[in-house]
Amino acid sequence: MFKNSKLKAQKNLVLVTFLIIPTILISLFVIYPLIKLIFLSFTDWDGLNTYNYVGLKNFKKIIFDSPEVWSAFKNNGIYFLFHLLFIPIELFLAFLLDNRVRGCKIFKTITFLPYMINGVAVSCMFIFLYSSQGGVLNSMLQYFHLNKVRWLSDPSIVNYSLTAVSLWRFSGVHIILFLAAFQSLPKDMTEAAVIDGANSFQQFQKIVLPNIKPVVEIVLFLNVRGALQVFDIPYVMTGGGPNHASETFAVQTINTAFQYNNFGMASAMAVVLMIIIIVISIIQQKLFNARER
Amino acid sequence: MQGSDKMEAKIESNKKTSFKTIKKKANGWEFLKVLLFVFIAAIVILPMLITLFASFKTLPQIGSESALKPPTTLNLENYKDVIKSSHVFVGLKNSAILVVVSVVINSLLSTMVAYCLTRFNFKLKKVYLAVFLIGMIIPGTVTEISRFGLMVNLHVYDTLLAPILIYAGADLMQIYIYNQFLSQIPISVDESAMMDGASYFTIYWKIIFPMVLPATATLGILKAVDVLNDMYIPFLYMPGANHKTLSTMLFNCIQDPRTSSVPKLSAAAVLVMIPTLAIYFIFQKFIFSDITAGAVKE
Amino acid sequence: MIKKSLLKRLSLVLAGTILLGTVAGCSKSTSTSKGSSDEPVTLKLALWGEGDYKYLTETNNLTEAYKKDHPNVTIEIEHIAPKEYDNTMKIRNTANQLPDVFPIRQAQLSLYGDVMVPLNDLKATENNLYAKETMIKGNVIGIPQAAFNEFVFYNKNIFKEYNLQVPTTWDEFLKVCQTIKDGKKYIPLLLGGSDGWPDYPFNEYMPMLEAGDGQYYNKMATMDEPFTKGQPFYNAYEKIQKLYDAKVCGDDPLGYGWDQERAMFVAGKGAMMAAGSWYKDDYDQNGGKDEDLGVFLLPTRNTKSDPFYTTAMTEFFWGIPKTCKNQKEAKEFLEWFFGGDYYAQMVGSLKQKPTVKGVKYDDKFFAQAFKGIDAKPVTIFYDDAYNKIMNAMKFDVKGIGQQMMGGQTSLDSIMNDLNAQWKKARREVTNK
Repeated sequence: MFKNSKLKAQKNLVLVTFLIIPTILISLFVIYPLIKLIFLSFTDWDGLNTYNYVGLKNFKKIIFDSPEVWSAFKNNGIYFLFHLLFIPIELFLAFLLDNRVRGCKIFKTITFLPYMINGVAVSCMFIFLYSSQGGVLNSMLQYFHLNKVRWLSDPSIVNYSLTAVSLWRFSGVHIILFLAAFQSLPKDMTEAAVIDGANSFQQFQKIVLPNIKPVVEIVLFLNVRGALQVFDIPYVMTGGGPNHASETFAVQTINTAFQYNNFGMASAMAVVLMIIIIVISIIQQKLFNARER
Repeated sequence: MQGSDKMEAKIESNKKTSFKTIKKKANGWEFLKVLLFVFIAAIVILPMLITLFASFKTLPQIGSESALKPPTTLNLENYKDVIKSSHVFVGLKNSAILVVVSVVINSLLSTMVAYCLTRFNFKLKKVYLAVFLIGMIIPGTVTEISRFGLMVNLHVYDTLLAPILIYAGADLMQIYIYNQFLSQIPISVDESAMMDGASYFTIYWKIIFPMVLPATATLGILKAVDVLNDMYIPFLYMPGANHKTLSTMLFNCIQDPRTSSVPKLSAAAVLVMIPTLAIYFIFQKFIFSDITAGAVKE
Repeated sequence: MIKKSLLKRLSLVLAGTILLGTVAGCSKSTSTSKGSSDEPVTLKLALWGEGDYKYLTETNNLTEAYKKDHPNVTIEIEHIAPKEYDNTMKIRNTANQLPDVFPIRQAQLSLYGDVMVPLNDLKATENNLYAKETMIKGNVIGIPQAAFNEFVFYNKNIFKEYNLQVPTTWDEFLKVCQTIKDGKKYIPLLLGGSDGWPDYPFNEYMPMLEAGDGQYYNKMATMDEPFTKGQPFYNAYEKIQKLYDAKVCGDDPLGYGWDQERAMFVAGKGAMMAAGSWYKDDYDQNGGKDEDLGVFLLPTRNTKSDPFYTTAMTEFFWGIPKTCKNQKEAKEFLEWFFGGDYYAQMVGSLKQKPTVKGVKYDDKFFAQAFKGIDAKPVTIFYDDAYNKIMNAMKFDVKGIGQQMMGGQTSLDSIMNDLNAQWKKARREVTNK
């Protein structure tokens, strides 16, 4: 009895001391801006002068009267879909990189390299690569006597070109995260399976996969969030063009705020985006858990 | 003790035989795997190679020759330009401070938070997780407007502390990764330590923290890369010339659409990549070492 | 068990970090000090122009020059990247962190109506040729530093190769483009469509040239359907569509941007490009030679007997925010800045066209464009009424230019759509 209450006091002490700084940080830099954001979404603030309270006007406009917003949302969907399809590939590659292929040390480094380069520099590199005037890809196509492809200027394929850049940049991170997850598994787990003669794939599915659930969950979540918030790549590479064809939700939000001087509306868009992310994540989570069983 | 020794020996010998058979069957398979990664390596390296080449060319050269053509001369003009115009050493110093302080504080905070959230149950736990979740989905740039006023009021505007405060906070991804690792450390380890008289704090510092070091190293690299490459936050909160970081230096190089250029940007990108690479190679040792294996057996 | 040395190392790192963190927290930048006019005052100044920044800090140090006349005032100059300048100012404004004196971009001027101090009574305003043309809500809130003209830069060698004369009507211009295109060697008109903004001399300015009025967009704000056939906007866009349809900007103008546009021009792969007088400096910096370069004014008129309009724009509107704590000193600075030798030296060195009465402008290079043409400048200005509609309907002329370059939508459908949106936005804005 005596020990229990002492233990409980200790537990509370640890909880408080460990969590107090993160709590303060989060309240200040996450909660407070969030509340302000929600507040702004009900106004018509233009960023410089005074504002008026406009109630749900911004939200109504976004949901019912903004076709451009929903076509941007479609573009986000393309990023989401392709990254999702890549996740099993990333898992597989990470699995191989876990000491199952020769030269894995070098390959680990190479896999991570794309993420290490500054995001904006990456975008500029790829602009150059995709260009119709002396761009590398088009030069190669011409070398094989094929027609040049308007990678970034054809509205029907620009989003796929941009998604490819996103995959190039971020697949490496997912692979590294999965790799870290594999490292967390005790070696005898996988070794035991080798002895039993299970082939790699079965071993993978039945033994390894259930044990790395937290990492897979978070990667799936990062995917939803990343795909819906994607901003750098389209903004730097095409500015959302040509003529808004590659605009994503986030690009529009920024443009609404700064180019069209409507911070109130932009805040409302940000709130809508957050709600969408939450909804999709929940759906994804339920599907994932159902599949598990 | 003896039993487990025998088990180990048997596993070893089994491994050797099965390994041999695997080796014979899988040579074709092995080759394919390596080929796969070589292909991936080519895709990764190609754009970077182009950038490297571009950093040694001049603007007319970019306009006239193929991007794949290696530069005929190692023209260092672009590098000189970048270094001269952008206080590289100040940038290096500031970036270094930001990275080291943020990563260390962040590693501590996130392991502490993860420890609390996985090893303990307490009333507000779900709320806490939800708050972290929200933290992750708040879109960046629009929120800066709200955060900006706050920073000014806290009197940290134009100090190195402003970005550090933002970078040091733990995020949900880190908590999940640590969760992954912690779930593989059985509670029995904690319990046996408590039997020996250890407090929760000791368990954290002497057992848990070292055992999740590979995770900490991985997340540390990711954090370091994020901090080094993040342009917007240092730009916004540290306008002073003595507070420029490597990334804001790069930001400047691409900003004026009328005078920036591919060669200059390429040189800047290459320069900024060097510290990142250095950090990666240092941290690498920690990720891929066998700290976990040793401890669990105890 | 766990290596003790590892633990020791970790603790050391921790201690070191705390130390660094404290150092970091202590490194605050120098703050402004306020006081009476004889006490030392620091004025914070910010700007976006790289060339201007270099001049103010290196070539002819502003802080030192000003200290000679006003020993108690120190000027701190900050450079903010051009792309982020407008946004940064807005963000700083939310926390009342605006610098004491800074230039506003013309496009943003109408937004700052309530933010800036009226400068109507300053001598600098009196002596400025353009200040009163760009008043907001009846006040001069910014004094423009320079005036820019728009030109078409061309490669003299290519023109010589095809025996071409400088065009003085729109059809002549199209013909010149076509001739070069037929030669199949060079791109007639370089236009970095993928960046959007490079099409501004056409998609943004031509309606004004067609109407002969730099404030035409403001007039449009008073109309319900300004995009109808026969109106200047439509007519201008008809001409532009013809230009894009002729495919004289390379086989895919949307596939390359400004960066490549100027790279190709200076490498001699393209014959012409449209930009402002500010481009000359960039050309020089990247190895371009004066003897290869020519300029002419973009001819948008139909016949030689029609008036030849050309756009003039004032930029860099220096102003003082109401939140400035040293308004007296800031105003004194503006008087000094625009009133004395410093200004004349600066615009001379930066090759900017001055806005101050009596300051000589001598640039032989651009004079060639005005020879033999009775060019009528129209001063561009966007007022609040126009900006409100533009924001409400997200009116983006440059994006429309991209659409036109793509050639997938008919001009009529674009114009009809614009009319509908404009009308709706007008209702929305006037009903507020």
